[in-house]
Amino acid sequence: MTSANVSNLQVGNAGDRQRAVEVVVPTHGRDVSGTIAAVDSRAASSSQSASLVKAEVRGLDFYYGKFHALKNLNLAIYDKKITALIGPSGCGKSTLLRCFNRMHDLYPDTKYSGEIVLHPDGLNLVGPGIDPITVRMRISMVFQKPNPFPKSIFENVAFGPRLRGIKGKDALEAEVQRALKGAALWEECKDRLQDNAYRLSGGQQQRLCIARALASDPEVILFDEPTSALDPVATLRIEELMRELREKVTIIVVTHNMHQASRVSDYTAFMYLGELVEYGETPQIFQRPKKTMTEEYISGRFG
Amino acid sequence: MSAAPVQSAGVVVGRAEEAARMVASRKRWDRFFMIGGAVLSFLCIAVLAVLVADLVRDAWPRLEWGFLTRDQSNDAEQAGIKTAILGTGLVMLVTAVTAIPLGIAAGIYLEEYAKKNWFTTIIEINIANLAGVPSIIWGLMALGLLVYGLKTGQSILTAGLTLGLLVLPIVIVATRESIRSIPQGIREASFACGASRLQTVRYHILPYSMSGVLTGCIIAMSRAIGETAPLVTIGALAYITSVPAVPFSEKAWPLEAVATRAVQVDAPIETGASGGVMQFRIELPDETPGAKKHAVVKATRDVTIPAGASAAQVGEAIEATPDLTARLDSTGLLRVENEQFGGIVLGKDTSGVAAALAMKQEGGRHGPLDWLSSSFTVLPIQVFDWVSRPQQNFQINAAAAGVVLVMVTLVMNGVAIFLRVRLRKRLQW
Amino acid sequence: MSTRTFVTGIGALVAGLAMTATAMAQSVVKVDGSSTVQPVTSAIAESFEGKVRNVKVEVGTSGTGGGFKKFVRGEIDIANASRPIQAEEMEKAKAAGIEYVEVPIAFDALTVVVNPENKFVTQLTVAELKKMWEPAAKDVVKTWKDVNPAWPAEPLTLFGAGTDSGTFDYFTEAVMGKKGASRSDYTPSENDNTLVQGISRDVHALGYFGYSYFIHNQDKLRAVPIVNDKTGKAVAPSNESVADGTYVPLGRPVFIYVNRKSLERPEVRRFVEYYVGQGANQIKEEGFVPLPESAYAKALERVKNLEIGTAFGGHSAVGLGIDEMFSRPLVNEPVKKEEPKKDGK
Repeated sequence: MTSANVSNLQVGNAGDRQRAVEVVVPTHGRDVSGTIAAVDSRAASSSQSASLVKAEVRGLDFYYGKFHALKNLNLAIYDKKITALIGPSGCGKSTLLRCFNRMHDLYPDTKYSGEIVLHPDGLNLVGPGIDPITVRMRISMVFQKPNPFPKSIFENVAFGPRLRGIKGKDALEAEVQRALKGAALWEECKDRLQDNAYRLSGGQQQRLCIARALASDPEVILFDEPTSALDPVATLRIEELMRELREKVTIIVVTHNMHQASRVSDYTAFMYLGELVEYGETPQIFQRPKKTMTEEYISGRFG
Repeated sequence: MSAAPVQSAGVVVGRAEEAARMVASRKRWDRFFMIGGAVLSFLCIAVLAVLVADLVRDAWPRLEWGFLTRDQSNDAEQAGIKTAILGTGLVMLVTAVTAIPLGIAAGIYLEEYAKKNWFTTIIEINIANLAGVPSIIWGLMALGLLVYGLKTGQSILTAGLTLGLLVLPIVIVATRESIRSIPQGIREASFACGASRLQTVRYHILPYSMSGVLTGCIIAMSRAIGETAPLVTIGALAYITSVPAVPFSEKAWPLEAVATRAVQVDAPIETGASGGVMQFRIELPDETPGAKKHAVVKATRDVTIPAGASAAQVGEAIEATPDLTARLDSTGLLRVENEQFGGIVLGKDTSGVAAALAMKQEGGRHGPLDWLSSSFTVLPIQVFDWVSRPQQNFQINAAAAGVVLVMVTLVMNGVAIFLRVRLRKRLQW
Repeated sequence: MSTRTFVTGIGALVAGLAMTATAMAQSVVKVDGSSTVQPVTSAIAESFEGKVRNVKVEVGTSGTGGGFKKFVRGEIDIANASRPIQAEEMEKAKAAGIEYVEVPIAFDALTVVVNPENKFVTQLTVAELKKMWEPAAKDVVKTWKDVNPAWPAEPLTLFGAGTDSGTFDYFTEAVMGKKGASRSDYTPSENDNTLVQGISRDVHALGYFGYSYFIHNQDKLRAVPIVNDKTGKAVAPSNESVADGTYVPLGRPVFIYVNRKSLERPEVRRFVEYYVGQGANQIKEEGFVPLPESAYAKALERVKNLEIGTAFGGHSAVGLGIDEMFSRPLVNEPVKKEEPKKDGK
């Protein structure tokens, strides 16, 4: 019952759906079937040109034991864009994020059904028999609290490349430098690479974690409320950084902070009680939400 | 409070007074606790210092280098703890080599790998229980399972394994506690980078928990080093002067073992057929005063074995030689003896047969791990033995051995603290 | 062919023996058992090792019972024992095909001691000891007066062996007539030095332990003469009184048991012969009473002739004289208790 309603809410009219799909099809040569929550065409054509789909969530359900945490989710994640997941606590936004790199596999009694298809090769991230490690090799993550390893700055960033078989001092140094530059941390710590990561400030630590995520050369980076533990200045720097990173990589960000979502993201998905209520281009969601629930949440009437 | 509640200023003053009183009370408790804690800490250290000082005072006459390097003796002043130190060192080595990797592996498995189900719950409860089992029970278990079951004998290996099992729960529990203190975020970060479980353990969990694990290992080893009961049960000795087999040293073969091996040689060596001359050396104790533990070669006897001699003829030839007797014992082995006291006879073959045979045997040297099957004694047993001797002189020895035991423990702790500090330096949260 | 194999064996054996010339032959004599006897055996082993190169003696201390357990499994060559082999152990040995030579090596005198300040106790009868120590005495016999009305009504503090020791077994059997029968409200310790300390600090204490602990603490303790029931005379423990059999019933023999098969090894035979032949000095030094020369000669005979079996038939040795130990027939099967030692003479 519920899931049927949600599908209707998401899909909108057939025309919209058709257009969104048209955007997708030429890129990957395949049809996006089902009820992918594509973005309103007017918004798409006005602010973004020819967005490509990086990943599609199709009929995704997720369970913690008996608890049905995500209910028949469908949405498309656009390539080299920032997609924000918003919603009140417990709405499932973090749960959805952690499906993308199979973080739930670390814990017992979790179950996925449905698909998250990663393009261009169509890998089903949550498919049975798909090793989570292969997923995480392509999709990296930045966590809520800065969690650098209690090792040197260099070792923190070099960990990913090492796991990918990069050996040799020079090669590793090149990777570390590239990642630190990408995370806008190089200038601050190029002379103290052997210092323990915990000597850095909180904001620097979080940027180090971003560098660590970048060093793996991921296709998608997941940000799980990356600035909730940081002060406003550090928050701004991270947001700036995310916008820069958008040039190279697809980003999905979970945030509690509505302003952050509106500032950094290109697309926003509003979730409630494990369901996707509304998904669209960020300006549209924040300025002309279609659902009253979205509007109420954004205007701070609940959540 | 005298101020009427309606007067807001009075209320504020009243509140402030109350707050001040509460703060003062809390501060009092704070001070009380601090002073109490300081006194108790000081008491602990003082008691330890007094104990050690007392022990050192009792032990003073024996505290010299020779005490460490001399053999056991029934003359208290001549007695040393050489074999006990070697025994303790080697038993601890076996204990460490078994308990530490096994304990860490088990701890890691239970924390990082095992699914939480009834089976792992049973394992966990049992580990907790095992930590509380009296050590004598472990001794009985080891006697039945290791000494008689697996035929490991009353050896350093048995002792090390027994103590290893005894302290295994300590290592496991310490490992688990230490692993649990690592924030889950670290694990998630590692996995998010694409690490496998093993890689996460290898590069993160293990290094970060090392200082706690190390502490656990030292506690475990400190417990093991003082154990007596289980070692007595499995057959630690009170008197032994032979040292454990030094790797690659020349073998000192027991006569019987020599005989047994020799008879089992399957490639026929034509001793009798080719004949030859065997030389026997007769050694007698050197009775010169002060020449302790040395024997002198009293005589050598050549025995000519004719070509094609039969066993009986070989025996006869030996019998015909002065001072030598040959007899077949009940196990069918030929024994060559000398009737005079101390005359354990060593034979030397000049025909080259021995050399040929030696090539076939194992080279006559100890393997690198032969010491595992050596008999042994350990420091606590030595202390125990001396403490229960009636001669007062031995009480000094007991105290001195106690001092050595304490020193060894302190050194172990020192090493652990050093390593921990070094690890902490590289690793900060 | 079989002759040739045998010749080969002999040749190889001789060659093997020859190897030992270069490889330093070393043989080990394994001893285990009573912790009471262990110091004696260790002392003799030490001097034996000094005389005979290439032979090492290893002495364990797992108790008489523990020693016999290993002995009947053939794991050790010699068992130290502070009591004769018992029926059960005899049966196990027989089942395992282990034959043994019983060698009495010394006497130990269980010594009843009091504090030197105690002047009123000049002697004790076995009956008085029994009154003090029997299970019924618990909570009843509390003062010296309760034992003998001639003595003051001072509290009687008792120190004795722990229930796991052979000393406890022997004392209870000798005094109460039943092994293990003892009151429980006394201060027990397995470490006799603890008892020595306790008695030396309490004026009205009384305790018992092995002679050696008295010998080495004569300045702190006084040994009480025990009245010999047959002669009515009080006898103090001493080398003489124990050796001539007048210190009864608290004098007890201690033994080594030697595996007969081990005796075929020259090193074991040499060690046992040395023990019996030249151990008297060490035995004395360790606070035990050596046997008379003649007894050692008889013991040596036993070893040389490989006379197997025990003179005790699987029972304890309470009140048995030295002569009896050698004159009684040696048996390999437990003897029924109907033939007790009491009416033997």
